[in-house]
Amino acid sequence: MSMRLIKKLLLTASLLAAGSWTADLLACGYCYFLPEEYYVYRISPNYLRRVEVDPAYLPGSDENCQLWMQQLKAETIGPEEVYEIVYKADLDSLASLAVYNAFATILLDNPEALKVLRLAKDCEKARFAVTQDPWYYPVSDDSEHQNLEQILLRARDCTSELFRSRYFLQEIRALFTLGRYQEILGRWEAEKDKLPDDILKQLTFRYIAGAEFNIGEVDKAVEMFLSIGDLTSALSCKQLYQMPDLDAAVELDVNYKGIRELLENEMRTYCFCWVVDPDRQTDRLTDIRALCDKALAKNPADKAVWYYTAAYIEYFKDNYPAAKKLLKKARKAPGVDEVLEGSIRVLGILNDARSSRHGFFYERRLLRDLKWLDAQIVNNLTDDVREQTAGDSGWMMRANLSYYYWNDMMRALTLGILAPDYIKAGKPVKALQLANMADNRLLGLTGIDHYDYVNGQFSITQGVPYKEYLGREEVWKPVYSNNFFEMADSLSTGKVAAYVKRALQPKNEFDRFTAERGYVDADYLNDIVGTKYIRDRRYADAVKYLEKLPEGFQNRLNTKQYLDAYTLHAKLDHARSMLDYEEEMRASDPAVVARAKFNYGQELMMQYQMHWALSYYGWSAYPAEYVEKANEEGMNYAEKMIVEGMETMPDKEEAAMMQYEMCNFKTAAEKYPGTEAAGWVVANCDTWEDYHRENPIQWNIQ
Amino acid sequence: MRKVLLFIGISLLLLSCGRGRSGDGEAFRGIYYWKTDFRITPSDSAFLCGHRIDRIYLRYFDVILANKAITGHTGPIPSATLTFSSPIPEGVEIVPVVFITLEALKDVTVSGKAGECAAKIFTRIDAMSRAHGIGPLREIQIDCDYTERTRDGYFALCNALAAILEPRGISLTSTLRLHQLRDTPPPVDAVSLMLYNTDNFRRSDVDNSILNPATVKTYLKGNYPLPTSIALPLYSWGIWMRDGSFHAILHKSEYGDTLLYRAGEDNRVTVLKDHVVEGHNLLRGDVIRMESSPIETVSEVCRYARERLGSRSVILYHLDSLGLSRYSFEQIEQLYEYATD
Repeated sequence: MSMRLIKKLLLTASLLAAGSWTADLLACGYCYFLPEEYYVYRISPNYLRRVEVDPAYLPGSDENCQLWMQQLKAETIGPEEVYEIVYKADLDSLASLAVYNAFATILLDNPEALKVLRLAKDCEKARFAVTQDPWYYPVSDDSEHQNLEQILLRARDCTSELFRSRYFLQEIRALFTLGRYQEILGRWEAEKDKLPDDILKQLTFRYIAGAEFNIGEVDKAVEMFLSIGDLTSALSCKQLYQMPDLDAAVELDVNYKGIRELLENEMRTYCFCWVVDPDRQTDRLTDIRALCDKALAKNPADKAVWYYTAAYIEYFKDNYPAAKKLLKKARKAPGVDEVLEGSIRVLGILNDARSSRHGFFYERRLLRDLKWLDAQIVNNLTDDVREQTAGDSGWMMRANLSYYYWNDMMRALTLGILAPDYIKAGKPVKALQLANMADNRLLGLTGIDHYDYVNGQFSITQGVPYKEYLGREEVWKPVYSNNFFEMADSLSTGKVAAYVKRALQPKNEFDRFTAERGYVDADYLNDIVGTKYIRDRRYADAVKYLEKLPEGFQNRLNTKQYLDAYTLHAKLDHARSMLDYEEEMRASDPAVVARAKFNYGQELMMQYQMHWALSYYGWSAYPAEYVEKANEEGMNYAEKMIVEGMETMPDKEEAAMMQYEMCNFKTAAEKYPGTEAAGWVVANCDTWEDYHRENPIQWNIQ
Repeated sequence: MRKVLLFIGISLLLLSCGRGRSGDGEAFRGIYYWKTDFRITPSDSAFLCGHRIDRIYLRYFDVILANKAITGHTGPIPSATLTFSSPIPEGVEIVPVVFITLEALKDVTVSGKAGECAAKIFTRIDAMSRAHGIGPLREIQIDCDYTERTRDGYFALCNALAAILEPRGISLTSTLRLHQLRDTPPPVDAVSLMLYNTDNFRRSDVDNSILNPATVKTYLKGNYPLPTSIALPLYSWGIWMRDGSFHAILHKSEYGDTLLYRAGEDNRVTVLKDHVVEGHNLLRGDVIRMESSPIETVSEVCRYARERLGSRSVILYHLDSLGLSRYSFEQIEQLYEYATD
């Protein structure tokens, strides 16, 4: 069984142990990943993005286009225009291209530039005829050979100092295709110091490395290719096709400058891709772990990244003591830069959280770590992150999609590790404190964009301050669709009430720290507790919380459209009404008691059906089946009350009317003959059915 | 005067090396060259000259099925092309040999592009020959261990090649394995019967997969309808086995280090200590089966084949001075004499 599956099961088990699961069914429609599935491994700013090279992309083409622009003093034209002419166009059509392409116009006025570009294209064509055909074998008298010899002559007839490098590049390319490798090396020695250090020299250098390879200087060629970051060519030299690039790079040159990118790509694939087969994942991570040791044995310049990677793999495999030791080495090793330093500290924090008992001493460290993480969240907040978060109301964050490292890591720590552990340990208040902070901190910094449609016009108000936004009536509130809410909605009401008390009256620095960074709004929290008490049928407790809410608070709820439009405080009114019925059930008059039970049962049945919004929040339209299923006990109790009410009503007319109200027409007619209800049934019904008796609970009370 | 006599003597020596190309149907002395770099050492020259070798069967390239992921190409392509580090010896005819893998042959068969493939093979052979001053070509040989299923494809390829070569006065020959003796002969002018690799080297119960006279005799029953030259082995190798399973062929010939190997009573050597040989990780307990081409066995097979097939031409496999140094001049000369007397 994979570690990820085990972790999912543990989280599920902990939430089940903590309370009702129904809230999760309702609330969690947003989670793409779990909080512990955030990208933790980070050794470069591009840690989230696999850089896929477009196979059609020609290395160096961007820089070459830029150089053309500089050389022809055409820096104002678009590089895509240069690209079209240099890499795609047929120069015989230059005049017609000049109609819309500014670079073509410039070339037509510059015979020297045109001459060298034509040379390059002719050389490419001649080379293509040779290199693209694997069956071709050069013979001095074949036409391909002749063409290349002509190209060579033209390339050696350099008439422009400005384009000297370009001529030289074509000369080398022609020689390469002719297989005159020694000559290439000789020419390189003669010319290399005269060439400017630009993209053309780099492009030429590849052929020099190729020439070395072709004369048998394989190791030298490998070194040269690696020095310009061309791992593919280096691997080809050594015929290391079957080896993964990362392993081959370590084999060839542990200081290869592209190693961090290779490491990151591999780790991203095998640690964070949920489609990877767990067995394959384990095997490859074991290989990479061994590769770390192999790389470190070669004493690389960038030791820190290898220690960090090894530490991460040990952490991933739950080997926390080993991870700790490796992290200690990583901190002091050469190669630590700002990015890696932060990642090492984060991994240390996570490792500590996983491996420590969460007692007094740990919690002191936790507060220190949370403060540090919070400072990173605040100080590194970019416009991109701000726009993303405010623009989607924190959707990506709630879905646990990795996009802002510092906030992601704070959530990985609090929601992925600590909150479940605290719930299991019987410390739900701490869990809720951390979850509230995790879900609301970033939104508190970025605000939310408010989209509106007024007078036929669509408008956006960007970055409305979070609390102000949540106070508005007409907007959808993200605070009813996040981890904190799901946790609060699923834990027992008493525990949530204890949290609310602590949140509103903090006792220590930890309480204050988390409250300041969460969404601690008295109305929001009191409404949650009151609603849960309604769900629990503890109407007296519900009233205590709901009567603290201002009138009209329900208009701020996402479920407002499902609440009674005729009252501004539907939940409170309902709770009071049920409380009244409970009071009446203690009366001495059996008719009053029976009627109270009957009404109570009906209202309770509606509380779970049509009026589900009184005790649940939901996230879309009518989730009645969820509510009914989750409150089977409550529904059974409601039914019991209805039946008891009907059967204990001493007044026959009332009893008959109750049966009639419940559409038990047969019972009304047969058991209570002579009553008004029975008379109506006899006069109007062909078939006497007991609709409710036959289908209790599913009966939709009107 | 002394200088004149010396000049005449050297000229006579050079002229006497090789008897020039024998005409079609005449017996000849040949040797295969199967390395990827054509580099003739002084001992190779001495061998060629001393044994008056008429023809070198020179592997020009293999034809394999392209791996698109690596090469970007599809279909059959040339591979392991010979490089020329030495000039072609004077007085020796070069016969280009092209080996075709089964995968490439299957592709040619399925695609029906035998004609196209044949044209490419010839164009490349021709270019290589012209580039290195080889020619005029009188013969081209194709080598392929075709099976029953790929036979038709192979024959189609041979027909297509023959159609190209015939107008040019070049004959087409093919290698032939023992198991192919019983099949329909390929559409070529002559064959070289490979009397080596007679058994499956992967099997642990085989003693010498290079040459087993009993196996040869099983197959050689009578005449063959095409002119047939005999190809004989003069090489050795080690077959690396572990737990009875084949692992690799080792070209190292010496296993005398008693710290690493223990010789058995038969031709098997047991590895005593983990170590690396030719890039392979040998473990303690592995077994290396030493296989060679004893001159007595080679001679016996040569005699037998000559009697059965009436063959007079012999091609030895292969020109490798280290391997050939295990045989005396007379022993080798006797093999050629068997064939050409």
